[in-house]
Amino acid sequence: MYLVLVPLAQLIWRTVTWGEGDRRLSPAAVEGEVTGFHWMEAFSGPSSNAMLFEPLANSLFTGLFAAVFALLLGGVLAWVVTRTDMPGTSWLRPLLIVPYVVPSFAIALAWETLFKSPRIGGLPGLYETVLGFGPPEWLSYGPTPIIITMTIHYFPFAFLLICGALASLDSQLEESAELLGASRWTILRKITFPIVAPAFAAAAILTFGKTIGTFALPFLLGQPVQYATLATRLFSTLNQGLDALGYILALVLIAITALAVYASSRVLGGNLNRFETIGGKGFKGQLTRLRNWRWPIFGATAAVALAVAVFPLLLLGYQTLMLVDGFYGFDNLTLHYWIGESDPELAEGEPGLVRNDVILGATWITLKLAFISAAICSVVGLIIGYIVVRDRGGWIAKLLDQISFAPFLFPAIAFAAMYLSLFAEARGPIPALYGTFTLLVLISVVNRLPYGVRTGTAAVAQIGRELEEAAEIQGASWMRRFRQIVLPLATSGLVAGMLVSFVGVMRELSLIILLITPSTRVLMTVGFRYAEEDQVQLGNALILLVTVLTLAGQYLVWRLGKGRLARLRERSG
Amino acid sequence: MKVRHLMVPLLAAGVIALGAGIAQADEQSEWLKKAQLGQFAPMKQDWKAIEAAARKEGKVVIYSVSSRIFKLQKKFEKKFGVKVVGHDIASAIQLEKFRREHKARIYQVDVLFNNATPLLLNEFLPRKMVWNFVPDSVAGKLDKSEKEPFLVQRWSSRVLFYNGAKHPGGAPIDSLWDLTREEWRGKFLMPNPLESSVQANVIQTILQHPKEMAAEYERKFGKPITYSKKLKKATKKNPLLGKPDAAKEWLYRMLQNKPTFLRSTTKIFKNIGSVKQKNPPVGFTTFSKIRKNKKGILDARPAYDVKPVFGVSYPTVLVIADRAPHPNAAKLLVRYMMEKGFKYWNVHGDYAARSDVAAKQVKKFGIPPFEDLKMWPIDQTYVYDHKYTYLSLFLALK
Amino acid sequence: MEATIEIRDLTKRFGKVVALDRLSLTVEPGEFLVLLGPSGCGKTTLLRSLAGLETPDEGEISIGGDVVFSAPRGISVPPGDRRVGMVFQSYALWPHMKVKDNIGFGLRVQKLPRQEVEARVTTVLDDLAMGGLGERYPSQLSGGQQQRVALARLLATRPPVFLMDEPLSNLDARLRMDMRSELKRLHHDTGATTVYVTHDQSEAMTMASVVVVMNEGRIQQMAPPGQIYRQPANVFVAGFIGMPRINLLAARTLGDGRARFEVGDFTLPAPGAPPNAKVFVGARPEDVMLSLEPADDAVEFQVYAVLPAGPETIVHIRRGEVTLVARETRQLELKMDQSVWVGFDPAAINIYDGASGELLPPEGGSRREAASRMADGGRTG
Repeated sequence: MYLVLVPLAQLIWRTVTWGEGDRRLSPAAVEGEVTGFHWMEAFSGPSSNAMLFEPLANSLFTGLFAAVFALLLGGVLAWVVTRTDMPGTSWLRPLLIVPYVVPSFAIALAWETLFKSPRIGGLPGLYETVLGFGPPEWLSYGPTPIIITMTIHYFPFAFLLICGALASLDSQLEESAELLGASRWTILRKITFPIVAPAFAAAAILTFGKTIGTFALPFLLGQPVQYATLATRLFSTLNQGLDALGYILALVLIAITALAVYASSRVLGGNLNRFETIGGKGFKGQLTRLRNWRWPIFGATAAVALAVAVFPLLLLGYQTLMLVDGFYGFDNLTLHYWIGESDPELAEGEPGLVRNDVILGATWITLKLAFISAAICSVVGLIIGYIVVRDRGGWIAKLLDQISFAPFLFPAIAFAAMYLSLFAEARGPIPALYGTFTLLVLISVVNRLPYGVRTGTAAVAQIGRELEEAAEIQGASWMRRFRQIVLPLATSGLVAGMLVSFVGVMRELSLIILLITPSTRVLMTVGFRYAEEDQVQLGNALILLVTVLTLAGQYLVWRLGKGRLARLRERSG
Repeated sequence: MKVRHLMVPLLAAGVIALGAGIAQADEQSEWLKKAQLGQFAPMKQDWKAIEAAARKEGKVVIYSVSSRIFKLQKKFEKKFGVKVVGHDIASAIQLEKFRREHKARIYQVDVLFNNATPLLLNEFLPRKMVWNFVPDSVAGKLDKSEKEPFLVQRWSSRVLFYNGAKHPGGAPIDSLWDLTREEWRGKFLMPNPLESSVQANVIQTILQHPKEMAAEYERKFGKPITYSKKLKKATKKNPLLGKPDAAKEWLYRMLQNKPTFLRSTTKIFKNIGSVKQKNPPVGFTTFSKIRKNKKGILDARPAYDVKPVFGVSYPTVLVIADRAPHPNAAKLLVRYMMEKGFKYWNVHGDYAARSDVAAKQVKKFGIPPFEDLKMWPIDQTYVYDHKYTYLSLFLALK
Repeated sequence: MEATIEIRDLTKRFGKVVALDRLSLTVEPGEFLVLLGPSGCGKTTLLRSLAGLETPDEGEISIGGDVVFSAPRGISVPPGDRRVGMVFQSYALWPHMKVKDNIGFGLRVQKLPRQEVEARVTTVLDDLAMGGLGERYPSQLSGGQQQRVALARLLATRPPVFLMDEPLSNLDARLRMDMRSELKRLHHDTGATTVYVTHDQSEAMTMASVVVVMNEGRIQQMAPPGQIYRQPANVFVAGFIGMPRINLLAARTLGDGRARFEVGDFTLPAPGAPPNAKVFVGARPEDVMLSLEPADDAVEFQVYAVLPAGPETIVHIRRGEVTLVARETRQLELKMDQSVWVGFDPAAINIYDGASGELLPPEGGSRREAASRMADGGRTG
């Protein structure tokens, strides 16, 4: 509570008081006094249109479209991968997740490399190099590429969520309809979809929440043509030192996401987690036969996987090998940026990746941070999920459910700012954590908690209540039950939670940038600096490093959980 | 219960803040006395004592806008036995971080190396959160404005560049008003003036000079300036924006002419200067990027002759943080960065504040003396005071 | 090892639904009490309240003389301290623990020394003929074996009270029969007071020493199985117990002093029924006597359907709107639509009040089991 509500309260408080620099906004400003000026200005001031409403409309536009496309793409792919006899699912599945693992700004960079507009000058992009003329402007910058890249980045997210629901769907439901003579399309529409609809809706909200708050993609692909969304406008205002206005934008962003969550929970009968109760029984589903369509559908899926996962990485990888950025040719290839010694002529004298102390140090810290926070986050998420499930309908459960969702709505940079002041000094029992690794862990955990809680809730919902009651009757205390019954049985959920958190922490930048000290530097902050200095090769090499490490970490976590999972499959109560 | 949870820390914080106010002032003068800064600054600096004390302090923490601070670490430590802990953070974030730390009474940084001077001058200096310190060894080589209100290490600038391979004979533009002409529609680059504080400073500085802009308009087009409808409407709607003038009109027309905002100044430089392109753009970027020119690959040249100015200059300053834990090491580092350590910043395009070093730079890099450059230096107070007006104007004209 | 369970005025509501309605009940030490009723009748809630998994809103529960729950006194002893063992419908075996760890869990909670735990686990496994399965995981066992592990887990801690929530419902029909006799033997050997929930009446009849029939949160009848069958206390119990269902005929006693019912277009003798009243006549199928010849006081019916079932034959007969079901153990050759003559054993008939549905007390000693019922001390709910 302290970790979520206090920052929120501070945020709101700042928007209704005069701050230090506010005498620039109005001569009437007296620092510390309460005022409605900021809200008036944002909503009805002379520049409220450009300041708030236009970016708001843009955010909704790109966010909604991207969410819808991501859902459709993710949903169809999830169905094809989990419910049909399409070949190659075992290697397609991990590939399809790659775009989510890759930092979002890397996708934007790849897009820029490909569809670079001749208007901005410099060396021609790949498109122009190959075709001889530049791409149309709407394809280079603005809403179209934002929606496309967001879709690419977030469809794996929807894919994962829907896969989970589909995998636990009892195929008998589908089969009985088939026996009644229903066509495959009818089955899909009338049986499969309604059953996974709640999962689908949950995926929709989470995806929308992500797309609407996305910063890097609209930032890199929108601002060259002055296309602003709430997230990028928020960043601009904070950058200009007009923090109260920025926080109002943040609150609007929070409100929209909260509204979406509320609306969907109304539609779903007030229970977001309903779908999770169908999970976990482990019915072995019969797969839909695609017959003649088997190979064409495989082709299409593989093409998607290649286009969104393999190709961007290859492109980035290729760039790291270019001695001089932008020259496509064999004589321009080098491994300098990977293994080279420091050369004052190249990359400001920075040595190649494997010799670079800064990168290596940051790698270690990043991995440590990601593992520790992912582990804590999933356990805390499990505990909260436990309370939410077991005390269903109780007010504590509801409150916890809501609060744990809140960090999801916060713009990370504002969140980080709040944490900075919250933990700067010792308050009561809470020691001053500023500049410590612990604080990084703490904020990463809280920031990732919504995901931890969602997966934790799902995991607990799958554990039959009787399993725990059986232990309760034998006199096992709550701690013991949690440790010996719930925790081991929720391993699969825990692992899933860890995977999601791990990826998130690995990629997190804005959250950490304020809290960073040289001893706590992480990969993304280093990568961000390379991007700032336009050190394309080193930057891309770093992105590849992050991607590979994330995938490796995922694999490791997955292996850890897998051994235990096998035994639990059959009868879990 | 929820409410109480919130109220307790808030109330407690309030009480503490009240009591702390008085105690803080005493604490501060105590520190100033020890650090020999502010009113306790001695007439003559005793560098032997400072160095000895610095060695005892053992380390110095600096927030630096430039990553080159890392290059100086080893030499400094070798020479003085004082460890430099450098944090490479952008100016605005640096100040935000420092402000929160200071408020929370976490005193861990000694030196700020920063170019967000409007904020420093108008918020940090009057609140006694930073202190000026000028080593007397270099004082004689500095202009008065470079010693007060704070020590300037170098002058950087944001200027217009063009592609030298395409235009070997000279710049294709000679006026800021060229950026409003159809010929350059969609073909000029700059960092986003809403996001980059330096670029915001550039635009604001231009906005500060409507008379010059009006005169230049007449010179360029041979007729007096007229104001467009949109500008008139915007200023009417929001009196805070002031009356229409030539600078505002320029901003409006420039924004209508489809500028492209790119994040990285290096990228802008490369995009302008890349030799292998048919139709290169022009654009604003940092002067010192000129060092990146490479034969056969990059050839971007500063458009010195653009009128009324081809750019805006801004200082990068060194200040000592209030309640710095290592004040002597801080002084030593500041002096080093003005003397021996300056070599890391001695690059083509940045002008040293020290007149003797600047003279050498002119010779070494073959650049015009700083005084001869047609640039406006930023006015920190104007920029600071008009931040919100500027934002509103920008958004209204967009 | 013996304990009495006393329940007084227990009420439990879920929102607006009353699951238990001021329910009182005493379970004698060593009794095998079966809670029987349709789903939603409150039997599981009652069991869970005994276990402490559910907190009732009002009333009191004591087990073995200790008050474990009391709403007025604010007492609610946690489940682990009530000295009860429970077998769940799903068995609730912990899939991540080996069989022996499942069984030994409670003992480890009680902090018994390791050797003791192992010894007891081995004993229990041997007792249940499962020696050698201790190292397996539950998912590697058959359904019957899993059921036994659940029992073993209950036995290991030797609680004086066993609570069982439909423990056999997940087994196939054959296994279920075998397990019934095992459970009965187990109960006999341990002497533990057992409360057993089921919706399967044949299970209730075969296992119970006392059956409690519940509906809508109330006890409808509490009696030994035989009595529940022979003398259902009300129309609900009469209809709920028995397969095929009891014949319940809406009837009217004649007011002319001839102690007879009028059912449709015929009359039957009605021993001891009040005159001129609306009643229900309850007759078990085996109490409907068929004969192929007309006889005294016999009514002519037509055969509607004949359903042979091995040792017995179920015959549906009809007269006008009245349909009866008879159970015949003789080998009668019956054809569809053939006429048969029906007579009733007046002593076996139960008469219920037409309005309240309650059993009307028989007059004198004319009815067969009146004596035994009186001897039972009026324990009808």
